[in-house]
Amino acid sequence: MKDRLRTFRPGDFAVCVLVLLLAAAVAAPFFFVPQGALYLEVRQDQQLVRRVRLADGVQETFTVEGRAGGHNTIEIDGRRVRIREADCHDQVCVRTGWLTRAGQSAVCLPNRLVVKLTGQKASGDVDAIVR
Amino acid sequence: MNKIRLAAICLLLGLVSGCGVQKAESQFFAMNTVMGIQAEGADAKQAVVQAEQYINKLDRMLSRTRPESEIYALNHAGGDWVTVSYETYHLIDQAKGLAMDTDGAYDPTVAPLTDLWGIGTEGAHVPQQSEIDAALTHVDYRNIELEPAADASAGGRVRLLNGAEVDLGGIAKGFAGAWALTSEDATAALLQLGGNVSAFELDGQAKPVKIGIGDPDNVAEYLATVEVRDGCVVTTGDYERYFEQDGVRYHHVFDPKTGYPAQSGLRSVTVLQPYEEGAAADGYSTALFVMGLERGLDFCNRNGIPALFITQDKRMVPSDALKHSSGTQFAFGEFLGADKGYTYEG
Repeated sequence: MKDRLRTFRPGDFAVCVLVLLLAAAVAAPFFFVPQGALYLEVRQDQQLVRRVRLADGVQETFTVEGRAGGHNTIEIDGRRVRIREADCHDQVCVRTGWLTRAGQSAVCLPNRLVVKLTGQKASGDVDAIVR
Repeated sequence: MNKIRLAAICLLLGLVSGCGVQKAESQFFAMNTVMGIQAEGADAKQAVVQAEQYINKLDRMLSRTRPESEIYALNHAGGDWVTVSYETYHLIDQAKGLAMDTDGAYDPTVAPLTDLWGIGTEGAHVPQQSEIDAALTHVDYRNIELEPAADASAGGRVRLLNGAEVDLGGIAKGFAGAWALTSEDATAALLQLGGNVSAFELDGQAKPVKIGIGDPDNVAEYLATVEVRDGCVVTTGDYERYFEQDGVRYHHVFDPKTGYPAQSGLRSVTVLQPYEEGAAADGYSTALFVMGLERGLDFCNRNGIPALFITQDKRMVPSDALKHSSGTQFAFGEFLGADKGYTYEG
């Protein structure tokens, strides 16, 4: 055993430390994402048209005009979001109601609009919802 | 000694490099719904691009409304034989098979009813009984006749009798979910095609995927969870596409026998199937919704189908195959509906 330790020279030790530091540096961003950061992403025809960081106290209502002249009114109320009003005939997006967790989305097919919450999932959250 | 040193350094380098796994995702519109694909693997980006292209190709072939589609050509052939591609032939064949298996509770020829009621369109209304009766004369899966080509990989010929029309919208998403990822570029993926969810896994290394069963009264929330490995989960419900007239809810799932939206006492049915059985999962969930709890549960238990029924009187009832599936490909996770007045009868 002593022989083995003796062959493990200071240079080796330095290499190990260097590699570990490198590993830690690469991993750090994954561990230090602020817990519970939640973002609203609004996409129309797959193009990102709006990204908002949600936080308590943020209040905003805005309207997205669609290609074919349709519109959706999106309401931000702190850490929750909904499509408050839309001129589409099926109203599926409005019926979806408030989104509160990362991974949830509301979709307006006629206006090709997707409203989605992104961010780090809580440990108990699901990967997807069937409906 | 040198070997130990080498092994240690390789291990550390492996940690740094993240082992070369790529992640990719895409979101796009196809098949009248929104599709999301997330994948990981050696070339996940390529896998996602190919999957999107494949789904768009299927959409062009199977759409009932695009004049260039094979289904459009079939529906407008006036009863003549039409030669179709392998995929289209296979899917029509499977649709007819599912209709036979479910005694017509799922029927790929309900299109005249969908058009008549116009659910999900601006013209949605309750038709006259005489109009429903007239539409029903065209609704019967037995009006579909198939004749395979000598070379089975070439598809075959199809014809429609008695003015029937085929609409594969009910199972196309399930089929797409099962076949969109074919290469080994992705080793694990999660596909969300409309309300369907498929979890794909190539090497048995991925974690089970946790899927929420949507709350019929608030579709962004869920009432229960299930866990799936290399499987797909499909829900049919009365709550996404509907209209109300005189206090009655008319939804988009038609009972092919009555011509009315199915009044079976259910809010939703969720079916779990192996990954490659997406089209069957789609067909079964529609059929079970039409059958109702009693007949549907009996059907599941006779055929070993894992399924979860949510009734109008707030009961949540799993089939035997879901109840006893713990530790296998499918497992019931948690029941979360107690606060909302639901009872779980597992």
